[in-house]
Amino acid sequence: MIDTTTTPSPAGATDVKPSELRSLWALTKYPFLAMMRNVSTFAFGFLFPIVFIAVFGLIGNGSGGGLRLGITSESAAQPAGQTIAQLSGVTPVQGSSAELEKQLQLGKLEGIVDVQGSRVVLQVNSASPQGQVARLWIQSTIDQLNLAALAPASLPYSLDVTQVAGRRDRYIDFALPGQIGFALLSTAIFGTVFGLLYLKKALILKRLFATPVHGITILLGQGLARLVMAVLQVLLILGVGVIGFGFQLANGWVTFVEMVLLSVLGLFVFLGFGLFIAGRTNDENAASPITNLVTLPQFLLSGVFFSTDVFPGWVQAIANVLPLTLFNSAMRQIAAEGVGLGDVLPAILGLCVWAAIAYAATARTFKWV
Amino acid sequence: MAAAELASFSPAAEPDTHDIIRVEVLRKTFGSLVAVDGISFTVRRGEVFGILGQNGAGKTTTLEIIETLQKPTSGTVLVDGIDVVRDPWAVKSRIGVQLQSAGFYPELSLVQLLDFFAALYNVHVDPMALLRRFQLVDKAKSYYNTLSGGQKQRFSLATTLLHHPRVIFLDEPTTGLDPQARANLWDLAREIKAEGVTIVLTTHYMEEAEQLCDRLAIMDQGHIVRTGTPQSMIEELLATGFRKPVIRQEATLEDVFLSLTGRSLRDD
Repeated sequence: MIDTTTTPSPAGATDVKPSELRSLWALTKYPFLAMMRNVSTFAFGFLFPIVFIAVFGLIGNGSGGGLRLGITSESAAQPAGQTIAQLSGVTPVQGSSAELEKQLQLGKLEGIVDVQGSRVVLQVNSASPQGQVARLWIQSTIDQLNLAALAPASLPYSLDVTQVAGRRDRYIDFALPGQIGFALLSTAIFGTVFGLLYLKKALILKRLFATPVHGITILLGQGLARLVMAVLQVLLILGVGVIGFGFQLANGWVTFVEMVLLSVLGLFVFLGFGLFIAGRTNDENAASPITNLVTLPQFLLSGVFFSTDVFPGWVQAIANVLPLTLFNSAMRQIAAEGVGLGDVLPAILGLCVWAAIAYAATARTFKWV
Repeated sequence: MAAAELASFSPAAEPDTHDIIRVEVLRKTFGSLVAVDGISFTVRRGEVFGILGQNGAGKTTTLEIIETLQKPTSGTVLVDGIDVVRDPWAVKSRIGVQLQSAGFYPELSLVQLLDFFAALYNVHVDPMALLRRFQLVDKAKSYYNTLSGGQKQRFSLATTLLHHPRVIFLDEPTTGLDPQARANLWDLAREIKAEGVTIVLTTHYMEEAEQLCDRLAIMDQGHIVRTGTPQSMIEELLATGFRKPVIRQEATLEDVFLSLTGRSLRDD
């Protein structure tokens, strides 16, 4: 009656028992594959942080880093003018005195040097602190020229400078840990909110609920898929930073492992916020403002692009308790100062408190549909 | 009495009569809106059962409660003798569900999607064999969102069967399909029925109901207004003295269309 060679008869089929472990593996693997093919995940999770790092890595590497001094065309031909133009740390800009004065007023030059025989005239931009540096440099150059001209037998004073080999404090060393925070927060919040909303809207969630898997397994799979992605993001950001821009891991591999562990904790905390938002809203128009309200202040206040030190005290007080600030400052201490996870315990505890708040709120308000 | 008789003839028969689905005084409300208003019906093992009705009649809500996707406000629903509220997990393993639209990751290939669902049901399937059966072999590596409407429905049908369910639910399976794709889906449904799987479907198309369904329930505003076989319903109407005002044609426009454009699928 029934062709059992192609399809076993349903009447004779034994009941299949779902396997939570196999389901969890599938609910991690396939959403991860789908996520990696998604353009916006790729852009926010991988491309943006790399572009930011590339931009930050280039800050300070440019040739225009020196003191921009205007030197009038007539001055450049004279010995004193040549000496000044060749000073290391000076970027000489030649031109007529009229052109240069215009640039000085626009703030594009720190000063203008005009050599009139033995008289050196320096105009400086009074609004620029660099103008004072220019004044000191020109002063010391003229002193040296005077000394060379007088050629005294002995000098009453001398200066010995000992250079201490310190860690180069560069912007990339500040920016890279911040970019890890940025990438994790994007993946955990934007990715989770819009990812889950898409699953709802495209009825994928409903189709999954028609199979014998538990909701918690679906969420766990989503979390694990993002965990794998977060680790890849950290690896990529660190790889590009270290190889491309000479980012320094304070204690090598130990620092690397600690950064990855802290990233896992960070992702877990941020996921709580993502789940909270995704569980309360059913459409993108409602989710978008809440998502931006949670993420934007943190991108601006939490030391992603610049240090929180620039804010007035009361803003700092708020900024310093935000989860991303806790994460970024702990990450910077580990990456740059070489401290251990144990030394950033207050920040780790703070993150755990945020996680407790986020997951407790999620458990109370989460709705699948 | 009847059940005991049946059991004595066939020892393999299920203990709880030959009804695979029993719906008793099912009611579902959303706030003040009554979507399903105390309906009762049964679906017999191995038949194709159709639920007809306008949009908003309560077809999908009824289907989703039986599928354990929604909780009833009140009433009882048994699938294969199991209460859908008390043990939804046992019900989910025994049923196959085709939603009205999509329900699949657009960024995964058909083979990946079949492997994915096989894992969720904890069964082992040969994705290529399944795709061959549903004429989708050359789409094995394609992504779901690149399929045509008919291909999507065929693929969706394939996912409902991979764990050998006792009953499958098709929610408006042919809405939006061209006549060839529709006829093709009907053929597939008949094959599935021939293998002993019960099919419950909803539709707007009377021709579909007449062609496919052994029995029907007609829903209107949350109520079931009539159940029976298509033929008995027609006879019942005729018995009231109803006569169709037009002369019966020997062929329909659909027959013309199919004879001119062929019955074969051309959506690949």
